[in-house]
Amino acid sequence: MTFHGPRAEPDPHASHGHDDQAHDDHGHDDHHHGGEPHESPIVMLIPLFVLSFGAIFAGGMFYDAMFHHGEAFWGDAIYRAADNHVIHDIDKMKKDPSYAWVFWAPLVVTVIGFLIAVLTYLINRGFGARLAKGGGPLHAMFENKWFFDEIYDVTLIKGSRWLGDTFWKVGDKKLIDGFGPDGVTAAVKWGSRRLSAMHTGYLYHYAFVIIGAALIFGAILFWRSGGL
Amino acid sequence: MDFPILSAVTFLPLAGAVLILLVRALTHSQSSEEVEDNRVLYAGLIFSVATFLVSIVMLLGFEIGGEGYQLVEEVAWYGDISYKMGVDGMSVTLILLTTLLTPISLVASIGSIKTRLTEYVVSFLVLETFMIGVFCALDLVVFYVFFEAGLIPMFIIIGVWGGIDRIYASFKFFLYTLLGSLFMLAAVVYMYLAAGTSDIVALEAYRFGWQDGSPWASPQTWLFLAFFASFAVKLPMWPVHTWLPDAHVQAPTAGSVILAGVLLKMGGYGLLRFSLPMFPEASLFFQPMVFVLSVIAIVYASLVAWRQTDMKKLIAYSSVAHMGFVTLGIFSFTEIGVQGAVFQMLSHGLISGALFLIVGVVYDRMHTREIEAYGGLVNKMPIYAALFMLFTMANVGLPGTSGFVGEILTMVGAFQASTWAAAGAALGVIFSAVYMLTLYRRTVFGEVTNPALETIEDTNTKELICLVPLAAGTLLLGVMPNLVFDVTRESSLRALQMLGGG
Amino acid sequence: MFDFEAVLTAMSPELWLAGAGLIGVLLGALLKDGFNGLSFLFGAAALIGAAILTGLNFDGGRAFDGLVETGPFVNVAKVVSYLAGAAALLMAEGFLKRDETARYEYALLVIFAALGMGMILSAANMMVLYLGIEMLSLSSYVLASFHRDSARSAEAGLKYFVLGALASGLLLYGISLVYGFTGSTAYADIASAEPQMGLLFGMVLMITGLAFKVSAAPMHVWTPDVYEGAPSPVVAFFATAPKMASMVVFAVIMFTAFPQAVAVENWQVIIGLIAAASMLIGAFGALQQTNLKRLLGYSSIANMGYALVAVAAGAEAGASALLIFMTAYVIASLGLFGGVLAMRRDGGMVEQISELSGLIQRRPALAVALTLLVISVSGFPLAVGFIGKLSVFEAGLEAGLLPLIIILVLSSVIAFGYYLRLILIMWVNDPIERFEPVDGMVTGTVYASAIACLGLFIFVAPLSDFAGSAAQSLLP
Repeated sequence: MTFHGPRAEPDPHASHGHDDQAHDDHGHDDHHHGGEPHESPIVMLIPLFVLSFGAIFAGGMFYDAMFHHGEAFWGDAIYRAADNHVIHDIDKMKKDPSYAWVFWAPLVVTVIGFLIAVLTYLINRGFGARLAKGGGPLHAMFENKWFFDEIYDVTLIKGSRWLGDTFWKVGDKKLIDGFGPDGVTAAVKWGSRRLSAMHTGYLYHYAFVIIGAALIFGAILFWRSGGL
Repeated sequence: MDFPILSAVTFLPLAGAVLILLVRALTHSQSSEEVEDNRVLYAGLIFSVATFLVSIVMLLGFEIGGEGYQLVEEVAWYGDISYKMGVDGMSVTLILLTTLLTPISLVASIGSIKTRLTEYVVSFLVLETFMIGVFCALDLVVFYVFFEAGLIPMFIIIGVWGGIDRIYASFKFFLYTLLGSLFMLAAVVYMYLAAGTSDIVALEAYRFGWQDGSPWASPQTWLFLAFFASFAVKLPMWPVHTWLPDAHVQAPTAGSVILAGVLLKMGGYGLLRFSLPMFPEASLFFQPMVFVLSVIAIVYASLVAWRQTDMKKLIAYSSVAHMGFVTLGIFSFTEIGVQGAVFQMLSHGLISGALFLIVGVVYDRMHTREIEAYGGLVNKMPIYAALFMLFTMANVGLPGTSGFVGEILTMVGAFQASTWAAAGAALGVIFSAVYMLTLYRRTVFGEVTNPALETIEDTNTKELICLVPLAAGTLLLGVMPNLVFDVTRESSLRALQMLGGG
Repeated sequence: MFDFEAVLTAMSPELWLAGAGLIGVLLGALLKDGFNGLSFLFGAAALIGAAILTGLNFDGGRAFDGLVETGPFVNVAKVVSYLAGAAALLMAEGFLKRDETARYEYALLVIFAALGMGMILSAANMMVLYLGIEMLSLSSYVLASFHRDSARSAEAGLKYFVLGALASGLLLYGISLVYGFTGSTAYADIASAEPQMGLLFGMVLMITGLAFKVSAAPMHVWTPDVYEGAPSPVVAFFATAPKMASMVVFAVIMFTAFPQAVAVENWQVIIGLIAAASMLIGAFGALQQTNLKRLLGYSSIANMGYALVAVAAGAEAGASALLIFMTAYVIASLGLFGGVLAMRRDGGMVEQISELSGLIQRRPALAVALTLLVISVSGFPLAVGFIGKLSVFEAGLEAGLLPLIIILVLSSVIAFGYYLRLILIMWVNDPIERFEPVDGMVTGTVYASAIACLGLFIFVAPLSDFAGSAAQSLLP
């Protein structure tokens, strides 16, 4: 959606309530018109429980089948080249203690994140808002999603826009049309005007042309036969 | 001899045009010459619909998957040149496209063209004859005659019923195309002298001179370039595309539909029918050049399209980009690429025709094509917005529409020949989404900012009659592309066979 | 022993024309102005009779000890020239009547001009050729200034006369050089002589003189002025019959009198240069013109350039192409000048291109016919002119004249600039006042030649076969 450019009209779904952050170009999915966040109804919770169960336990349940006996499990569903042993290698890494951190790292990061979230949103409410108010380069960096949109805007979007304009106004109009059809037409018209101007209507000019042509033809003949 | 069905399809519109002229001449009187009604349009419509029906009969007589050319007719013309007609799968699909788009463009003209209707209808019918003739001709000279002759009615259509700069545009269109074509004519004459025949079937079997290692001394190279000059302008390829935006912007809606829908396809058709089979070595030699030009066309034209403020010009540039896929597919020299190119031609014929009609709908109401003048159409014209959405997505190449099939296949074909070319083309797909979605958002979404739009009416029956068949075709070909592939497979394979079987 | 039968087979049309001309003079002397009305029909009948006589003795023969020799090749040109002359004469009557210059001398001059054409086409000897050319030219000079009271017409006649005399002088000088170096004026003797420098110089001078007659560049300088100044019916005549005759004679002389390898090599270069210059000047020159007659003058220069490509291609490759091209050109030109004659408004003739504005709405049939004729004369598909141009292409490529073909392509595209302008003005521009009706001969000629252009395009086989076999007769 970054190609939309600045919006001309006010966003009808301007967000209300808890997050009073500045707008970014993304549309907002939150439709909490009530203001305070509230618990989801039971129909939403049931699927969420099912999904979270899967999210937590699927790895444990399927690890053996997928990686330990991977070849048999995947069959031809995933094509593997003859020298491709990724699945096997993962299994080997799992058994090698020097790689253990690889497998633990995600969990550790998740737990840290969870703890920070608990700290800032549940235990110490308002801490996040204070942090935001304080600003600072780190906050600006995160707030603007590492400035990726801005970088894209400056490089890709402005760049392609400039390219498009250049191709159109310089490439098509100046170069191709200018040297191509329009230029050639102008040259032809110029030649045509010169030719008409040379056609004076004076008899002696005409006679000169005829005699001159006869002489030139004679000279060509002379030159072609290498002289007498 | 069987009933000459191809000649019937080809010349039925011409007969209609002559009949209309005769009736007009007989009923013409000094006093009533200013008063013209739509009856003549309906008369023209009858003939073009009849042509469509006859072309369906032709399709029924065509054996799908049959070898070589079918329904061949041959009458001696003069010298060793004969009036020879015949079709294969590729030409059949393009003929059907022509006979479908002509009645649609005539329907679209009802009400929007108000002056000099007789000449208008006659021009379209005559043009239809020449277009069908191009796809039927099995003799080079006959092909050339049809190929060139179509310029005159189109010249008149743009020149008489076009916009403000119509004179400039019509001259540019005509002379640009003519220059390329005359070089082709010189090549045609050379081939006739060398091979002693201008029969396309015989010429396919003939081998024009080619020396490995010294391509510039080989006649094939120059013949290829002469033909390429003509087809590249017609397609159009970068950098000889600049006539197209002007012609499209100035042409009346129906003229743009035919121009984008059929006339551009003659270039791709010519490359497949002549360049590949008759100059195989030269085609291989020039593959990199064509790839480079195609990728430039795709990226360049897409970027330029994005920056346009005129809706028609935007779609015109998008046509240039989409034709880049056609050349990419053809010169990939793979079955999938060539099939994709033929499919892309057909699909682009439907989609771009429909998009020009879409622009025509609002142009008829507002008399402006500036994107700025629109916005918020969805609030006033929901059906229109839905149809516009469909064709926008089809032009972007959304799966489920015919646009997707053509683009993906040509890219797969190109990928097999050159990764870089396919990568460049993929870039073009992204840009096509950019410019089409931008166009759609700025015209259809948002608030109604232009007060003149408050009273705008949704599509009427006439416009739906034009757009619904095209929408149906776009979707049908999107989900069942084999309908086309079965018909065109044989001719695509033949072209490739001749390329490899040198 | 004088072989009268041989004279009849070879020269009957010319004898007939000479007789008709003399009878005409007699009738004019007896009936005075009473002959004026009838004279046009009389002249047309004489020309058509000559065409029929040519057709009856189509294979031709030799007469007067080889001074004249006819064959199918020249007889095609004779038939076309005579018929074109007859059509131009019939179209002229109405025009001249309105200007009160419809005098019988006009018809007689056309008859004598046609006699001149017949003589140059029959000639097998330089002296007969020269006599014929002078006969044709002198009649033409008078015709060009037939509007005695009009300064433009007089100027056109004078310019034509002075420059024509210059060209005749060059031609005669060339003939005398050729005679001096070969000792003969018969084509056959010249052809068998040892080619040497003096002979070739004579040949080049003759080319210069002949190029003047066909109005090829750079000897074209008289054409635009004469076309613009001379009365329109006269121009209709100039642009058709004498063009056909002179061009074919040009080819016959090159092919039969100078067939030696050295000579061919040289005249191919010179004629190639003339052709290239004509094509380019014809294309460029016309772009600026606003006078329709002047524009058609430049168009004819360009078309003569195309025809000369066929001549430069040589007898084998070019002869039949030349016949096809010139026939197509003559038919289209007749129709186009018929169109010029139809342009009459407020009791006077109009000649500006802009006067054709919106013709399609005022006179649809006339506009369609003229469009077809413009298409034909431009060599675009859909009319016989395309076949002509295609044949020239073929001849040029067969003879390997690649540079000429490229110039032909480029100049054709430029020339399309003004042909399209004509179509555009007729179809696109807003209509202006309707032309006054003109006599049926004019419109009839326009429609007939338009139909012929289309009909001969579709059923071209007889024409091309005919031209092919006629060209065969020229080859040894």
